[in-house]
Amino acid sequence: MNKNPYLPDLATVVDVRQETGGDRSVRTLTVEFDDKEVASSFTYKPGQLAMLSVFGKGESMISITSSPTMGKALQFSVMRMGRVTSILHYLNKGEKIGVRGPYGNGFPVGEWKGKNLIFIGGGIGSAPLRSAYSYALHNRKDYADISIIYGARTSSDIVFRDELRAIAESGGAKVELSIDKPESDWDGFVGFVAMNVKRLAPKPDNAIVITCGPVMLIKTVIKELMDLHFKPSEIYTTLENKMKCGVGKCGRCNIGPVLVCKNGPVFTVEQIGQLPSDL
Amino acid sequence: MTTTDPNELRNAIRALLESKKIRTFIGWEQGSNAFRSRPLFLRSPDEVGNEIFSPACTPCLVRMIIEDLRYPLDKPDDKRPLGIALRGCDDKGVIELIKDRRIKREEVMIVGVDCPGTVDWTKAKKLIKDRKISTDDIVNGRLIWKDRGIAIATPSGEISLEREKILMSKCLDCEGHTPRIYDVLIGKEDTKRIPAEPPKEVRELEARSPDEKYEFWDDVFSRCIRCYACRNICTYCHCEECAVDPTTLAIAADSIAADKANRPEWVGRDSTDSSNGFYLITRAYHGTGRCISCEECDRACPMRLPLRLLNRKVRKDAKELFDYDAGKSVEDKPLLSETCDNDPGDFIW
Amino acid sequence: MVMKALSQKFLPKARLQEFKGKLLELGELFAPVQEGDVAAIRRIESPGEIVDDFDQTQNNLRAVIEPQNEVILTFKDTLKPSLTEQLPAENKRIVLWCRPCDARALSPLDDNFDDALLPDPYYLRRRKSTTIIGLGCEKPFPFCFCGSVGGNPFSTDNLDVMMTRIKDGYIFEPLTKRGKDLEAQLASLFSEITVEQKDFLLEIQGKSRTLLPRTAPNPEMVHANLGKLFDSPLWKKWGDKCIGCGICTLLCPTCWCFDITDVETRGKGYRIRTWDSCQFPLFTLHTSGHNPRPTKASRVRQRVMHKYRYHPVNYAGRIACVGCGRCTELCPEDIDLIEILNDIMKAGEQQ
Repeated sequence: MNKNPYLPDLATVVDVRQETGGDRSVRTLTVEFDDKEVASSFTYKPGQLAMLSVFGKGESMISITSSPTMGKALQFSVMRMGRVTSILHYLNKGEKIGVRGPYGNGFPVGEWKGKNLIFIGGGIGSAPLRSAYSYALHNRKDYADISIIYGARTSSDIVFRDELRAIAESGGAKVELSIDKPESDWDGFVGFVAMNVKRLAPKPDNAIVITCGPVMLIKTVIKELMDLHFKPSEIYTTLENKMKCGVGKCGRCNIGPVLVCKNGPVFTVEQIGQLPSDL
Repeated sequence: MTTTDPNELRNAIRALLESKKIRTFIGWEQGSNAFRSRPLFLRSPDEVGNEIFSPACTPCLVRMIIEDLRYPLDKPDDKRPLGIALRGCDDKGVIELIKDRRIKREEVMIVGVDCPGTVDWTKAKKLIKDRKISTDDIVNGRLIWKDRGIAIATPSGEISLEREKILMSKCLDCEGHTPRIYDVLIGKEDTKRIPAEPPKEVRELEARSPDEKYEFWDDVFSRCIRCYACRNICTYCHCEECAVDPTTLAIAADSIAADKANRPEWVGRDSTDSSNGFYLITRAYHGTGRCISCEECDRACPMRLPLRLLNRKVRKDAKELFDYDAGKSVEDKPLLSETCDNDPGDFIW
Repeated sequence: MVMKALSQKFLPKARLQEFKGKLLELGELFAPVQEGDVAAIRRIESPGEIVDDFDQTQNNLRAVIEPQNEVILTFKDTLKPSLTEQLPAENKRIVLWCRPCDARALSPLDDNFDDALLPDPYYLRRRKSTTIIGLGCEKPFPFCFCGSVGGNPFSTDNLDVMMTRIKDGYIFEPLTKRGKDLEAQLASLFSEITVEQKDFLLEIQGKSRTLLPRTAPNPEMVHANLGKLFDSPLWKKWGDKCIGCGICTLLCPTCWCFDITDVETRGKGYRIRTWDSCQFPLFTLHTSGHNPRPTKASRVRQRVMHKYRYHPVNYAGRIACVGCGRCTELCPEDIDLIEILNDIMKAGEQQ
């Protein structure tokens, strides 16, 4: 590949969907590359990332939330956090951004064939999860049971809510949603995601867990999974770090000898256990 | 010669640590060779043997007080004062920190020392070459004050070094060997106070034409690598968020997106003549009435930019325009915090 | 490693000026320039700018091959963007009188930038177009310890030519095909090397190693010990002294960290790559406010670990330190890398 890895390709926003509100609101952008050749040659694995450019403001590394099985448009769920994401957040259909990628190691979906997949997430953590469970649902015969355990602070913070409802109704996967505090018209589980995991008590036999979300959520979920006798090599998660180049060169995103943009962001809990603690 | 006996100094520090009156004592330890030293943090009486006081004690320890504010040396609930060794030039830095309300007088326990001058490593390097001083003496010798100069004490004898060729330029222009504020003074008080004259280089530069000055400073700015060492070592630069550093955005877990998105960036990350000049000149202006000419910025600069000229000029202006001396008294109001009726205004009207 | 000479020639002092002039004609020339009390590698416009008597330059080959400011692309009209790639011109570049340690430092830089999957075209264009003429160190400088990390004052790693200053002139020794081509282009300036000169050269090369003023602990043992010292109190001991200025990393020949920022005025602008430092407090700050390395201790640890532990783990044991001594010499608080390595050995033994 002789292409300059720092040069983005131009893409146009073809759809925008508001997922949640509040200060750190989430919007899902669907983009298509302007150049047809780039669009057809851009292939990616679930769990990979791309650097999105807002020219004049900078770049931001966002996980690709669509699955490669969904066609040539790419989807990014962007949480409004700072300078670049604030602009990404307010883009309208027809506006342009730069995209370069795909980066990162992605989820080893091939290795998971035949296994029970348990997706556990919270908040914006569902973005990379969605890429993986959408892929699995599309290739349904390759996998055994699929369950999605997802929670948010309030019901209006649940991302991809309609999609999750459709998945549950289709029977492709079991979907268990939760919110942190009681609400008047909520009849699902109320409590932290880790508590829901404890209640549901998934079995570790022939199972792979993929969990993404805020650090506290991941820590508490992993603890519950350990109590349920899951092995650290069977629990996958994604790490994040500040990134600038996205291609393993600027030296910023390392945790010990590992670069999150290149050797990650997907790691098993076992691999994380071997890393130093400057996370 | 100094009237401070290093052993007496060590005993005083030991006594302070044994009495548990202070949480940490900031002093100096021998550095990577005879001419260098570095800050030493003493917490127990048996570590005090590493404390030195010699012409190698060049680093100004006041900076470590500012570092402690941001990166605590000790546990946050330890409210005891910090002990610190101060020389005649350093006390002004502590006074400025008190004036800026960053520390209170009772938060530092000052042990004053009589300092006749410390070495400048850049000058030492030249002298080492010219005098062909052996590697063994460079590494294993120890500096002592001798008469009005310095010597390297070695097993085979003493090697005298000419004062002008080795001391920091500020030391050649010393206002007084001992600090005016202290809790304990090891040695004799230096009662003469010679107000520092701006060096002739400043006056000479002022006399040049604007084009000549522009050429001079543009060359300086083009060599700056924006390491920010001059700011990081400075005794008056203690802002949590530096206006001229685009990377010091103070954000917390609860900062809102709009706040982070809309912060103005006064200068970019590129290191070009104009952005470097913007940084250096702005920082100098922020030092008006606060710069004590400790010249640590000059010493820290890895490209050896003549930052002394900037800080001496800023100090000269504060004196000539406003009759203001930085670091004179904790009772003074900070210069730029108020306007007075008799402030010069000929450049306004 | 001192390679067998392909052919050694002698450049008489009287022809030095002409030599510099000829190099200027052959490409973009970078050489040491005196700037006040120090020397620095700069782009040369006329031979008179070059300083012959210098110890070590403050900056190093990064100034030529990974410059501090590099515009990577420009854009017009941020609303309907059009991008223009800004690759460095593929001009011939020549570096005159690079110290052997700085040339050795290109190896860890190549490890990072010359990667098979995502090669960095900016770095590679400059790297591949630069001919490097080294200058051997017959008398190393007060902070040198190249011998302790696999180098030596006459190392020929990554050099195209090695020059050595002797009485009345310089020995010019081509080491690669490029070096030989250069020698051919300058052939009229050289005379044959005499037996006495050859012997003298061998003598000073041999002696130079014994003149290294400092030694550091065995780097492989440091590497092994670092594996168990992540939580050692030694990092806070040194972190407390640090002021976070970044000089150690900005002027380190094996460091390469950079930032990428956009600059825009009225819809037009550029994206620029600039040097950055893991010692800056907010290097790793997330937009969420979380900072994985919030203390000076963690940042000092990162610097030493990266050079003596992480880089060698990823690149077949290559230690990312060439013993130039700049980090210690230029540190305003005299944080001594060799002292830190000694502390690592001591702490490792106690574990």
